[in-house]
Amino acid sequence: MRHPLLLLCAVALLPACTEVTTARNSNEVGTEHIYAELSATHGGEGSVVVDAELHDSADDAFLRLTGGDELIASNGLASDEIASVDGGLFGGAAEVSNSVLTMTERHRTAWDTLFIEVTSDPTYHAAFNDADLNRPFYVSFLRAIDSVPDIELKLPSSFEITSPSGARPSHGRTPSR
Amino acid sequence: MRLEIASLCDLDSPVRYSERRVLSGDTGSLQLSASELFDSGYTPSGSCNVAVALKRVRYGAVPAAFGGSGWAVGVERRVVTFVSTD
Repeated sequence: MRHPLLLLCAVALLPACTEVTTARNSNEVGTEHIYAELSATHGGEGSVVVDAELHDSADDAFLRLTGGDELIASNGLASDEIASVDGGLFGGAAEVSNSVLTMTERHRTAWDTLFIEVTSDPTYHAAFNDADLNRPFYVSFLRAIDSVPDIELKLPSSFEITSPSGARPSHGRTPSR
Repeated sequence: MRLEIASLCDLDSPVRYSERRVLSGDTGSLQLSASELFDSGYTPSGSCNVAVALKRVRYGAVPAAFGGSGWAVGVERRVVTFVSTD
């Protein structure tokens, strides 16, 4: 995991911690200098969460989407197919709205061993509540300054945990990121 | 594809212990004993809310247009929780 300038705050000192903004504007960095980290995660129930981080490969600084840059996540529709559906068949817009989401910014906060990581790092997020798990996910990076191919994310095969006696399977709790 | 495990012990206080690691091989089934949940040898003292997440990770490629490279993964994640005892 890449942590350019995160704050490690002892728990007792947390209220005294201040955020330090290290992110850079994405439209100031060409795609050829961008390092991208993307994931599509299925927790065993219906929803699939797509997460993305963009970094300047020169120094690992996080990039905040600016200047018209956008990240679009879709379930089963590559960007050329989205354009085709949107301009085509009657009812296509509804199909697109259910399977195409604009990824929204959220700050990364996570527990680590004995510490809380408080960061102002921008990451991007989309949640598909009724995903088709048999179709791939795509992330489109829409830019004014250049054109970028879609990034494809395919889920691995599913599995289940058989719990020992007394344990309680749960899908709703994430220990750390 | 690979398997990863993340284990966390929450002592119902501001202090938590967590660790993560890659498990060797993905043969389709896996049996973990209690001593394998925390590879570092960490042993919870007293009662602790334990969460164990298993992840199967499928690696994809980032287009070459991203000159800085990167990674793109699909993840199946399952979590089991329980309360440990002495």
